[in-house]
Amino acid sequence: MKSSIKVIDPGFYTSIQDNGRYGYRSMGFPVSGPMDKKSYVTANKLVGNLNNEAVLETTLKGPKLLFSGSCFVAVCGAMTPVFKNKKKMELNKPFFCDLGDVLEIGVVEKGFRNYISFSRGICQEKIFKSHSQYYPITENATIKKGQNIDFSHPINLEKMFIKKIELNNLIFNGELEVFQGPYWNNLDNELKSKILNTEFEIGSNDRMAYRLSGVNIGNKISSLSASVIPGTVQLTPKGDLIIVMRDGQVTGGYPRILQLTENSQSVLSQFRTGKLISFKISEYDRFLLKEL
Amino acid sequence: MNFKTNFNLFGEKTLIVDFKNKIDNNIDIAWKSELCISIQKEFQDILEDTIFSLSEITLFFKISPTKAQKQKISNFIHSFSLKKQNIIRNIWEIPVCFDRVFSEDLFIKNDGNLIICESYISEFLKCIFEVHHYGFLPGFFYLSGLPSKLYLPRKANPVKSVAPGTLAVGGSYAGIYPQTSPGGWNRIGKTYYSFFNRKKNPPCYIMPGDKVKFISINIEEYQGCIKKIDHNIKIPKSSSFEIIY
Repeated sequence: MKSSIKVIDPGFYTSIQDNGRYGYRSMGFPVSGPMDKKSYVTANKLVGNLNNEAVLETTLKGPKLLFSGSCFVAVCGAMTPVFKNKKKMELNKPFFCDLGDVLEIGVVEKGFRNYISFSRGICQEKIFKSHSQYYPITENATIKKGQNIDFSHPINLEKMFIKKIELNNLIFNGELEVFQGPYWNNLDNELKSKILNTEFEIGSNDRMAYRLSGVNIGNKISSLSASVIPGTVQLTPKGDLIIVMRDGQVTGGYPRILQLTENSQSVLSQFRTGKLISFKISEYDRFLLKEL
Repeated sequence: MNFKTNFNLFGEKTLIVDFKNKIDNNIDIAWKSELCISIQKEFQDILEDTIFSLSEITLFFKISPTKAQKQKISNFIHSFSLKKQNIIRNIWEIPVCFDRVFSEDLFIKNDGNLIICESYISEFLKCIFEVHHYGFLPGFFYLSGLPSKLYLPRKANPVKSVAPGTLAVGGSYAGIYPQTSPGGWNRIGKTYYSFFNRKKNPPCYIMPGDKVKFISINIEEYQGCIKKIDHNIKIPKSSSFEIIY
């Protein structure tokens, strides 16, 4: 029998994610990859994996998994109870799962998404150079009940204990750092200050986009279809804001007013409906621009 | 090719190259798409993706770009623009059934007036569209070239499920849904061809800069064809043409 993990219960919305799918945006492929990249990277480091190794990304409630092979596992991201054979395990700390062990990730207590890494990697056939699940590029958008997920390589013990790993604490402060987007300076000063001084409530959200209900701006903006990237904040004619996330479209028709820093994208990914957020302009891109 | 470029940072790792053509503000699509392909090939070590839209090219860097890299790309674009380019593209003939069952939205928009619907379709069939860029969904290409009298504003409330192969109009663009998805564009017809196959590499065969003509077929022809078509091999009729810059 092949060593693998069997999905007993897939959880609320659990998908396989690696670093993302690059090189296909010109055909309309979203880039995909982990929503909270910081937690994804930490989870992989903790078990000695390379940076682009595939992991499981959970949302709200995690999966129940049965091991038919052994490896080290780490769970990072949201504050969530983790159980191995009903015994509570620690987050952000690798532990060993043996053949027959059952790993269960509960419902988040704080935060929204968890990353489960496996020291033997998880192997799904790569589709267009990535393991990341996104329907219709991959057959399914999420893992399914009864599915077997194979390991991809042996454990690399040396790498596992080689260095001290800095853990990042989850941030629950709703102030997100942003850069000015291409359209920002086309807005009048009144609207700019309104946007920077408003607390927006997160509405519906998923891997494609976070929608924020908005400021009243009147219908005075227009823009032609242009490229958008994860973290782009678009302003709709109604005055709502749409923040593009990892499975978002490659082009959008609304003005791109702000751009979340990569770090802010990770922070936002741990928020859900109802959370209040605000924007703070970062000068870091001015610094980068000087180098150009 | 006579134009100015302007580089702007977008996020930490992305550069937007703004194209301002001195003549008509709109640099040709086929040329832009070839330029993107060439940039991607030349700079694949530092770039992970390159796309273009109406007046800009977007360069996705693996890590934050440096001054030297920007300069190299800028020079590359300049020398590309000075070279003579012979670009081969295709004109496609896509059969579409405009039967009532597939043109629900057009019918509703015109309060059920069949004469207006028919005249809309006959005007639509006269158009030669140009494939602009891919976006919205994998394999969804935007077709430009609709005369303004045929514009249909996007629906205020998108429908939950549009069938693959549906031809629809959203504002000034036409497009064909590659897979079942929610959609806010107005459905006007349906084709039995598929334009996206995830089991093939490349998964799309229609290129930016290609031209598209639609041919009207009736419901019997549509039903006859959809039964026997093998999406893995069958693509619509096309002939190639050359564009010289």
